[in-house]
Amino acid sequence: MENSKNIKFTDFFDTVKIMGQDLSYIDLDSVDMSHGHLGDAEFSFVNSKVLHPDEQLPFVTPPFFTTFFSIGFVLDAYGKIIVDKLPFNIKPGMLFVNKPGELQQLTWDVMNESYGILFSENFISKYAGISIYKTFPFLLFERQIPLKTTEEFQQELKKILLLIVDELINDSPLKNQICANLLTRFLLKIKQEYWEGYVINNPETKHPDIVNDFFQNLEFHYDQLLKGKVQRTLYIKDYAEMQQLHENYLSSILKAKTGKTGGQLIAEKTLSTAKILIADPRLSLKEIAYMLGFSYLSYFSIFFKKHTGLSPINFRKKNLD
Amino acid sequence: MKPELTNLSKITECLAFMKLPISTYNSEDFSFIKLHEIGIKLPFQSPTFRPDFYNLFIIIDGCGTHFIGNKEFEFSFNQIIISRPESFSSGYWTKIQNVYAISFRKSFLLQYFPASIETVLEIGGENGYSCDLTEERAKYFEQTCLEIYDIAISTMAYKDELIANLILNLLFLTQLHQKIGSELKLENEKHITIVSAFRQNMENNFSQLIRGQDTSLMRTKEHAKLLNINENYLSKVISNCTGKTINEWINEKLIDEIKYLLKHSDKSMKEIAEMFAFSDLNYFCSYFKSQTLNAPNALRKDFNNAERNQTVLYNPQFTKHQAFSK
Repeated sequence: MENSKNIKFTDFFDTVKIMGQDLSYIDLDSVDMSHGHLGDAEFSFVNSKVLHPDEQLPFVTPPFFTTFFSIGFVLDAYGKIIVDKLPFNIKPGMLFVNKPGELQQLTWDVMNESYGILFSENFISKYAGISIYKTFPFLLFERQIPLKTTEEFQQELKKILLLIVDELINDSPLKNQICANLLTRFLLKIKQEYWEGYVINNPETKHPDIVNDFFQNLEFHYDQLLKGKVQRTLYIKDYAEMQQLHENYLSSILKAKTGKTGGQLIAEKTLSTAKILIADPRLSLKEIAYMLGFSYLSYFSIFFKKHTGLSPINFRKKNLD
Repeated sequence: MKPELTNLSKITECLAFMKLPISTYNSEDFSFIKLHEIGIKLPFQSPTFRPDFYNLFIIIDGCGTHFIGNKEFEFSFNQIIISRPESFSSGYWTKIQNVYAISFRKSFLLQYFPASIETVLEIGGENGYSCDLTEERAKYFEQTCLEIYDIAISTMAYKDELIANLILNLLFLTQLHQKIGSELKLENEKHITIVSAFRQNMENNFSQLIRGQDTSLMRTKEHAKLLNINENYLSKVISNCTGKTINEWINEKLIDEIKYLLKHSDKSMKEIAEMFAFSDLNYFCSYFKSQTLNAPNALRKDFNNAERNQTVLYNPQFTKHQAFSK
């Protein structure tokens, strides 16, 4: 059943469709830029200038959820992007990093030069041997604020993008490996430019790492949960074990650093995941309850109502209206 | 002229032995040298090393021969040579106009890219590999080298990660050049791990033998035990994936090492036999004969005679000419 507001989880092809292009009838093996799009569901490159010709502007997408990471690299374009209900104006020189599961809506007003890279977590771990959670934690931050790029940095990134395009067009047997390699370089440059201080700023205390690791583990576990790779939810004890800490110690650090207990943080994450899942009309509430580790639907309903004031079914109805 | 035989394996030790400058960006894990900028006296015969690291020579303009095990790689311009660790190697240079040498340990790459790169590091099952580059590719390689150099001398954050990334890029591009019909069938991830672990263990065993830290040559049984898997399973995986049985791998490696020592060192037959844990010289000779259809002594003589007659081979013009006619 199609929901009236069109808010749903979209896989790669749906998203591309929303972005203004129906790939289902295009031969994906043909390698040219004529459609403004290169690559496959695991990794692809978008040239927005080709995708959105002047006569079609302004272009507005419906809100959509993605299932992959995306990086938008705006050189000369104007528009607006709404990520999880937070609007940003798109201006030249901006760099957007978005993670899977974010509700996005994109508007283009003026389009001269802008590129996008879409990739899945699987792609970068399979072909570059990189764990996003370990190497590029900045991709997983809860709130992403658009980054401003300098002229010089833009040139550097563009150089890598051109290499990626070359590689996608060449279509060699090692295409995936080389693209993953170049993508890694792209991300490393971003890390170098913006997140260098991220580690260096807090070397003395171990605590930020513990909190950070906890959040990464949490994100990772719910990501796995959504994909159906793991079945059960974890308790604070399990997260403590992952970092080889005692649960009381982890709890006290979390409480001191975030002001919330570990249980609260887990509950919050469960709640936000539940909200995303409820918005998808294809899933029954019972399924969602099981997915999130509740053994009975009623437990889930009570939990959900306690935190949001709405029962899951009401929340879904309200969401659909 | 025989190269001096050493067992040196670490990057810094090798550099120090050749009295080459060790700068701050040379470490046990990684080094980058612009060979044409450090004033090497030509012709230059490098000592024999047994590196524990990969060597990547990007020869934009230079001449000479590189020996890796029993293999010889003649090079002139726009060429790339890769050598794997744990096998004897030396180089003879007659011209160094524009040459970059990158050395790195496997762990240097693995620490940042922990998985999925074993295939590229296997170099198609060879110990060394060389290929010609097109003008355009050579330019790209040179540019990447300069980029690596810039990063290496800078103090930026995450520079090792970036360097490792760029090196991997070069390795992938080199692999592209390698013949598609490589014998290695490394599709299954589990098998890749086994093959690469087996090779590593085998090479370690050889290195330890040579350094006198081990007294016996490992065969299938010991290898299976070390990897904690069944003998038959190991044999099956290795021969299915590589097209060679375990014993073939070990024998080839053994013969490769022996041949290098026969050709490029003055070690006596007895010393060589002892090195590889042969209990007596007769057995060594008959083993060598059974594997190569040639007596060890004959091989050494042939090689020495050939070398004396062919000093002209080291003439730069001659080598260049050969490269053209290829």
